[in-house]
Amino acid sequence: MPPPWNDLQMSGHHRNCIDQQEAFNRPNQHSNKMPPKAVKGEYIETDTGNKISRRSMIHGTQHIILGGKTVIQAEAVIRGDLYRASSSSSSSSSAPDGQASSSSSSAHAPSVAISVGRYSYISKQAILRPPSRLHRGVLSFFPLKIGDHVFVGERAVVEAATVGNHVHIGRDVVIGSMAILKDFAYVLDGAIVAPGMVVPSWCVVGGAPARIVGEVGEGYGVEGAEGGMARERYRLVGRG
Amino acid sequence: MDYLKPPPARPTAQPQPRPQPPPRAPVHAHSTATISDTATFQGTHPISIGVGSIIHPRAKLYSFDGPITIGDACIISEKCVLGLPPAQHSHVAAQIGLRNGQDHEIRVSASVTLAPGVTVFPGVTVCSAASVESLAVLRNGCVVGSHARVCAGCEVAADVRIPDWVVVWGGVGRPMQRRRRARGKKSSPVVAAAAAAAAAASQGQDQDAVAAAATLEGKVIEEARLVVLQRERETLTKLVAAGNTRKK
Repeated sequence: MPPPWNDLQMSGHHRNCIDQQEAFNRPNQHSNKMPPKAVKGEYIETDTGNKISRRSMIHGTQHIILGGKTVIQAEAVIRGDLYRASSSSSSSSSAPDGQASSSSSSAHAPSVAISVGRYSYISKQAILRPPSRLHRGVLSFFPLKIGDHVFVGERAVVEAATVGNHVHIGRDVVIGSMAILKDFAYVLDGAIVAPGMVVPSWCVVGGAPARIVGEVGEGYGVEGAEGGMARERYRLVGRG
Repeated sequence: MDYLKPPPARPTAQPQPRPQPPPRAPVHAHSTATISDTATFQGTHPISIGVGSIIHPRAKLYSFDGPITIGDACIISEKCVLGLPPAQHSHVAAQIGLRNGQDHEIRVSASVTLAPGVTVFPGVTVCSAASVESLAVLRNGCVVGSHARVCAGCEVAADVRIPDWVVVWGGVGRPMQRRRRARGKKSSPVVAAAAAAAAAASQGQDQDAVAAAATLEGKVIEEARLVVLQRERETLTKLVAAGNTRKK
């Protein structure tokens, strides 16, 4: 963009110049901005503000619910294809009359494999995978519910049943099958949370296997303070 | 006015489906094996996959240093890496002392589970019914015995042999720990409950049998685990196959 004093020098055509410049500028912005956006746009932004990396590996999208303003970074694997094949297992035990109506209604609403709340952040190479267990003689997958403002670190493997709000999961963490992380739980880097473990609220866990090693401090998770930076984190994604 | 022109070569104007310069490995998979579309097979040596095995999406098998043999009824989960990827091949191979031209076969025996994110180096042998949990690393030349278990995040050093029926865990910031799995009678309430559930689920036994199963031998528990593994494969066969067809 030419400096503003350019038109001051050409004092005679002052107004003309500005018009010209504006006419200039618009296509200029257009041609200058559009190609880079299409090229480097690492993230796809959905209507609800989810920022999803083009290099993320999401399977079974119809079984995944993102609450909005969720960030999914490159090479994160989300296994929505491991949903609960409930219609076959539950209908076999129920009466055929009731089954016909229930299965037709459930067919319209596909079973949810993974739900993620608002302002949650899935880092690079993390794996989200619904937990599985034996249920009526059939191994079925259970929904993985992740709350709001959750952070999942790099290379973490999350197979939990429930992850509460404001939970922090460090890098290289493994959350075992059917574990439950309550609100404001903090999992240190490299921790291995055993299958079925319940991490209480406000607790810090670490080690392999993970144990409770402390509590998060006073004021943790307050907006803008430590543990409350989810909005800021979201805002910074995809900028430069 | 130069800056008004679009850049001469637009990267978006290349609709090629990303050619793969590394060679696709010759895969010999049994017809009953379930292999996801998004699994990667690269390399020069053959890769064979046994009866009823499941390769999850985004698993990567690289057979540049030797053949990869996967036995029957195995589960290879997502983001497992078997062998060295070509991108980092040269320097990692030198680092861990792989000699060119020598065979570093990866052998995965029957009923083995590799959980998500497991890394297996060339020359590793995993014996039957072993389970390797998430993010574990098996360095080159190590051997995992049958019915052994490598817990999550554990790193088995090069040329280490883990005996049969041994569990290894820990290893984050302190030495790895190991113990032999119980094979005799065990009557902790957790084990009893698990055994009861497994017995009820697998055979549908009556209450007496469940009560008797409260004190179970470790071997029986292991058998129950393998039954569950079998069920898991049944479910996964459907789901992974469904994922494959949907994309086509």
